[in-house]
Amino acid sequence: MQAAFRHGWLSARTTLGWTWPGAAALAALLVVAGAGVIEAQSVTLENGARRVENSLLDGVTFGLVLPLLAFALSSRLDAGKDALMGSLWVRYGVGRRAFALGRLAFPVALTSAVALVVGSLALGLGAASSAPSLGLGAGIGTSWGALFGCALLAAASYTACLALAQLLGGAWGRALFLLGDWLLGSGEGVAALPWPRAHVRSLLGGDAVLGMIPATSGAWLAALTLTCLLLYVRKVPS
Amino acid sequence: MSELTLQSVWSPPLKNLSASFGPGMHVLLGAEADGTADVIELCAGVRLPRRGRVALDGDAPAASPSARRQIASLLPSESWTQAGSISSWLEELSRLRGSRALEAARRFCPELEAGRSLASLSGVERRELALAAALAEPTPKLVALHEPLAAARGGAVARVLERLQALALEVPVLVATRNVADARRCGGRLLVLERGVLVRGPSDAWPSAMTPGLRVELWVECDAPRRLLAQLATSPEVEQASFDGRAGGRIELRGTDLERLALAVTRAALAAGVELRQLRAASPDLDTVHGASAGLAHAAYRAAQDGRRPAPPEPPRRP
Repeated sequence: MQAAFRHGWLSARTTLGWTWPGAAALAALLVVAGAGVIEAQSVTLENGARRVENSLLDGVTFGLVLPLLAFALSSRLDAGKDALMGSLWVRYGVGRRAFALGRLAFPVALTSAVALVVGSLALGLGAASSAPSLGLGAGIGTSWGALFGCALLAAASYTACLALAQLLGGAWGRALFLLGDWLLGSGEGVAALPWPRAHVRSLLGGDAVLGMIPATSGAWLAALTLTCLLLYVRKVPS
Repeated sequence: MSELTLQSVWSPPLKNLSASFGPGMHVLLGAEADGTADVIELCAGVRLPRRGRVALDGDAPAASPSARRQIASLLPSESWTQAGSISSWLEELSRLRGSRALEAARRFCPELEAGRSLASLSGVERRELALAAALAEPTPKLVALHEPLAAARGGAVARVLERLQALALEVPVLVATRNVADARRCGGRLLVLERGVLVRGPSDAWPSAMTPGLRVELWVECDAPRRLLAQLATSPEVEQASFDGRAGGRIELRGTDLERLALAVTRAALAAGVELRQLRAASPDLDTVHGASAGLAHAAYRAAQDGRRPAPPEPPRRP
């Protein structure tokens, strides 16, 4: 089990290399920096600074960069059955399910790390764009621990959902999931319930889904991630 | 005693393939398009059949890690990417499967340096390494190899054959090849796979069994080909002879029976005082084998039709 997970992790790392993730992280940083510069021009009051912070975190980091990065990693790693069936170490006898989980763990770690770095930059830009006299308070968006938790949970949920979508519907499944997440996850009603975007937004202090408190949204997101992972693992032959 | 069973397997291009393989050498003759590659992939557990069942002692290789750990395989395409050096990969493999992969690599692909990075290996070299890893298995339950003799380099072919014969004494060794000469060298049970169907099982891979009814061809190399050719001109066993001095001085003879043809050549060489360097039966290519299969099937069909048809009325006798 342990060896299979390790081989999965190493396989994902070998497939991705270092150039591609590095370039993706750099691009993400540039996007947030660019958005920060544009947003900073509208800051005049404490509310404005808070709005910039929310916009950079919720809108850019977790709303744009993270889903796109998770999508790109998913398409590059190919979590589909065909790719898993013929993996080298699986053929030599390691468990396919643990291998698949290891292969998903690497993009989770990478995506959450990028989200953490980019989120930190967003927080920094939010703080920098407000005058010290405005006294930007520390909410969930400005707590580093919470940011880390959000990044990890969001990365895990997107990776798990995309993996399941890939397994069920191939490349089209993945694309449809991203589209559904964008269109339906932006709402606050029942239709937004199964999409990670809605709960991540709620966790970051945005609009709640069906009036849930952030902790409930977090639990919902964790349950969604676990369900997707469970279904994914069940669909993969051992 | 392990046994591999394929039960009504459908997996393009395989069509309702059923076969059972016990300990021994089993050679599957056919091109990749005929389904040989698919059979090996199914047996190695890297593919699931669309329908039907593949089982090794009751376990499906595609769904059982423990079964896969006991399968030594060489796939048609070894296109994996892996970081690290050959030696580190082989050590990891040895740890996982309890084999001596490093020693096997020294034996079956000595040209590959252990310190080389895996990323620098060509497709051919990866196949060579995968073959060595497969043959390193001390006690596999199944050996499924695609074109193993083509994967081995010149000097290693004999060692590969020797190891395969040794393994075949205890476990099923399934070799898929499109080369009739390789099938002959492997020996054992031969099955011809055409367009996903097992069409026949010739007794061996010699031309008389592979292409019955067709002319056989013998290639002769000697020190005085023109003198030998003059001697053979009167031999009734030789139906056709050709010789091109520019093509290495090889005489190509055609006849109906390989053994009689070879005896005629030997007698002629003795009579003409010619030293024979090489006497080799030309192997029919896969197209010829397929043609022979079609001819045999047609003949069988005609025989069956003739058996069912009522005897034709006798012609009226002339007074």
